[in-house]
Amino acid sequence: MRQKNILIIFILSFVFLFAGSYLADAFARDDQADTFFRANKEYSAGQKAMAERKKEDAVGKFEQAVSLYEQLLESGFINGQIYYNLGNAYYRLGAPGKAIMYYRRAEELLPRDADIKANINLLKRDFVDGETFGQKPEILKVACFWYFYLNLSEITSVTIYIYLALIASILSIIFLRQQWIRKIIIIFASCFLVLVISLGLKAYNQSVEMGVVIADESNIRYGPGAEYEPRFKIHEGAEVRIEEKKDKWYKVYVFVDVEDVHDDEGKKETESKTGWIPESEIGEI
Amino acid sequence: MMRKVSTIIMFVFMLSVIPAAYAKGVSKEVKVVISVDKNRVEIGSHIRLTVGVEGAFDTDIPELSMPESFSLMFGPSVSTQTTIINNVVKVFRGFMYGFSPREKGRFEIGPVTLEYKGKTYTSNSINIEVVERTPFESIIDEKSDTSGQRVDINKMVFVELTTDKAEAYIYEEIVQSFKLYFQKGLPIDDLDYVAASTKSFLAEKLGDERRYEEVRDGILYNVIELRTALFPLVSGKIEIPPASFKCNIIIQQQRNRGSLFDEFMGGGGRRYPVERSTEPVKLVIKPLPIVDRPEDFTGAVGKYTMDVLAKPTKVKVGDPITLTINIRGEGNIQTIGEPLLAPDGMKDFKAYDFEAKVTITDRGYGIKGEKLFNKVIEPQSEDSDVIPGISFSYFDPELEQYKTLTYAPIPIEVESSEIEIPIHLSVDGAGMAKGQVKILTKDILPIMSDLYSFDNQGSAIYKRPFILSIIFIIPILIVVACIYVQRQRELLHTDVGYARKKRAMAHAQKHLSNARELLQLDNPSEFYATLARTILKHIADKLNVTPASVTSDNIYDILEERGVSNDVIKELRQCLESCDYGRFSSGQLSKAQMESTLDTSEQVIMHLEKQL
Repeated sequence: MRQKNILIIFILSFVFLFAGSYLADAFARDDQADTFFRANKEYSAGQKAMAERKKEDAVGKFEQAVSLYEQLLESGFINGQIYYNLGNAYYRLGAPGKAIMYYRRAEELLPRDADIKANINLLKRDFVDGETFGQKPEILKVACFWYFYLNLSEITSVTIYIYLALIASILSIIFLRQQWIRKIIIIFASCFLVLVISLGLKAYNQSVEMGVVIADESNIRYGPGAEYEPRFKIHEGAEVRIEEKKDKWYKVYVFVDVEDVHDDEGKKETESKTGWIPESEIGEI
Repeated sequence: MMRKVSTIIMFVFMLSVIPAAYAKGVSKEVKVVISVDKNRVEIGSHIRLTVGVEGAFDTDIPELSMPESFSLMFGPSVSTQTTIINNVVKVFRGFMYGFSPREKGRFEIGPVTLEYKGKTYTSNSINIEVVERTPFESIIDEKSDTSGQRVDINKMVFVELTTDKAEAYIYEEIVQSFKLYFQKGLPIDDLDYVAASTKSFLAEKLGDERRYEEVRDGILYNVIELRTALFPLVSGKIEIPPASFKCNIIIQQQRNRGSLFDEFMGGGGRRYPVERSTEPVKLVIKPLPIVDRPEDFTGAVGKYTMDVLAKPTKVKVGDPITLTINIRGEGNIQTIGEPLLAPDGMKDFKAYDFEAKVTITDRGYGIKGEKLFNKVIEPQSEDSDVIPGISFSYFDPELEQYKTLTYAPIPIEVESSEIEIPIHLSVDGAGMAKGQVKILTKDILPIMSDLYSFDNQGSAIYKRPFILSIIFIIPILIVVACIYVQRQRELLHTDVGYARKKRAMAHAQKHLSNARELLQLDNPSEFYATLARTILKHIADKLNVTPASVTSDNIYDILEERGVSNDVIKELRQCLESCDYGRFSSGQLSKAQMESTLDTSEQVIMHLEKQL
């Protein structure tokens, strides 16, 4: 009798814990949705003012929208729509570098959204250094569609479901001893393996720190400090890979073609494409 | 519910409309018409004659004089019919007679006279030919007509194609009427109208089909009229090819020759397919005169008026002004061309293309409607003070001359604008091939606002390693537990020794429980026997040997070999000796001693369970 009561109390505690957590999330989400709605309204008002050629009003509205979107992000509420809208707002305020940064963040969370890709492509056309990193062939995108069309969270969820299905099929074969279940186990095990590898790759790729140049023009220097000579210049919107951080300076690898006038044959291309840039001129993706 | 409401609305509508309409209808002139169901009849057959009075419903029976050779078979049978079309009520009172001619020849029937409110009204007269019985001449297959009944279908259904004019100008409206005549009361079905080809015309359907009655050669016909407005596209002699029509006539064959009713009553009769074609219609289409043709004439033929509205009239440089030009009238509204803005005055304006919207307001007796042109213009300098004059020319076919509608320049106020206009909508690629679309501006796509999928993606499950590890570890533990349980179950089924060993304790406890019951029943001999048996069986189960092979003599050696401790063996020996003593000295041992032996036995079994 005592054991039964303990079990009931244990189960009820879990139920209350999950229900409480869910309700808290739901209430918090209502507040966030309200802020998001207000931010969108400000953006639309800015758009309207822009159409009516009221430049000052438009700037005010877009700034207000940016403030509200950033307020949402600071509260710990992350959503691809916020990043995308923030990208749009920064673009309207004349900061295409920041816009690209937020579009890239949005892309990670909403990999299937065509609008994000369209806006990135549109902005890239006007950049001096518009090279895009990580462009994969279309055939690869079709063959490994789950990798390119699902975000990390979605791949994790699918992996969990496949894992549970695999466990269920293993349990079935323990008790039922049916030969056909073996084939199902093989299928689930294969899917699970592929998904685990995909998950690993995706997690690794996202762990690689990327950045966008947000200053109009930036000097890439030989070392982490203004006292080092500039090696080459890159421009707003250029995407870079951050390799090291030191005293508010980032060592970055750039994706633009760098012409080495000294033509040092022994030097690797990788070496010529790296350099140091101040932290303030880079926006981390 | 909706049906009830609509019924009430209809009822109220009828109550309000009918009395007013009746007054209107009754005040109209009274008309008397006689008609027959056929004007060629065989001797002995029946003819149905109807004297109809239109416009009055309280008349006397009209006076009818018939030739002597016509025998009255029945009548008059009175019927009243009221129809409401466009709020006009038509009253029709019919007096129907049935006659049977006895002699052949030509007879004139009528006119009929009617006295009504002091006035005398006279009807038309009709000719009837009475003939001998003749072989059947219609299209009906006589072989299939087993009843021998003969009917003349050719006169019962026919079609006509007419136009309202034989001569017209190019683009002028011509109303074409297709009329289907079928004898009143003739049940027809499966109507199929194939319109005349109008490839040299633009065709617009005029209203819904019209249904009315008409007397032709003394026979009353129901008429269905379909009208089309035609606008000729070429000049010269044009022929509208025949229109054709198909239907089935349902003929109820007469079973009773003495019947006074018509042969054609419909429903369940034979279906005779009928096909009719009209005659072609010849038209002469004249070209539009070249003399005095205005420069801005774009082909509009008919009668039109023009209204112009400009809004707003006070703007800044670069602000849009919407110019609305409404051309309304009769003619082919669809093909009206754009009105002309004086080109000299448009230099200071940026002009966008016209947007046109056509509304047909009336299709009753011709096409009437309006074409609304919207044009956006933007003044480019403060010097622009008027929107230039607008003109529109058309050809009036009735007056046979061109007309030009003009609208005076509209004054506007244009103020300077500080903001530069960044969007350039100039048509640089005007010479582009047709079908190519030029992108005017490049802009980002709009923001997202889907609250349905607006949830926190920051708290994704992959960021919670504890939950992830639980999700992955617990199922593995479950699998391990299930494998263990299943293995145990298999051993219990396949390994008898293992099964006996595993179940030994359970069996022993069951037997000890029996012994406890015997203790309560105060049955010492049976109690001690059960105890001894329980202990020995438990040892036999644990050692997987038959109970018979375990006796008090060899048991201690066996246990010693199996490594059972001496204390336990000693305890066992005492217990078994107590049991033997108790069995054979029943009544001498107290209940307390029995309980003590029972407890000892339980302990021995527990110890053996652990050590074996």
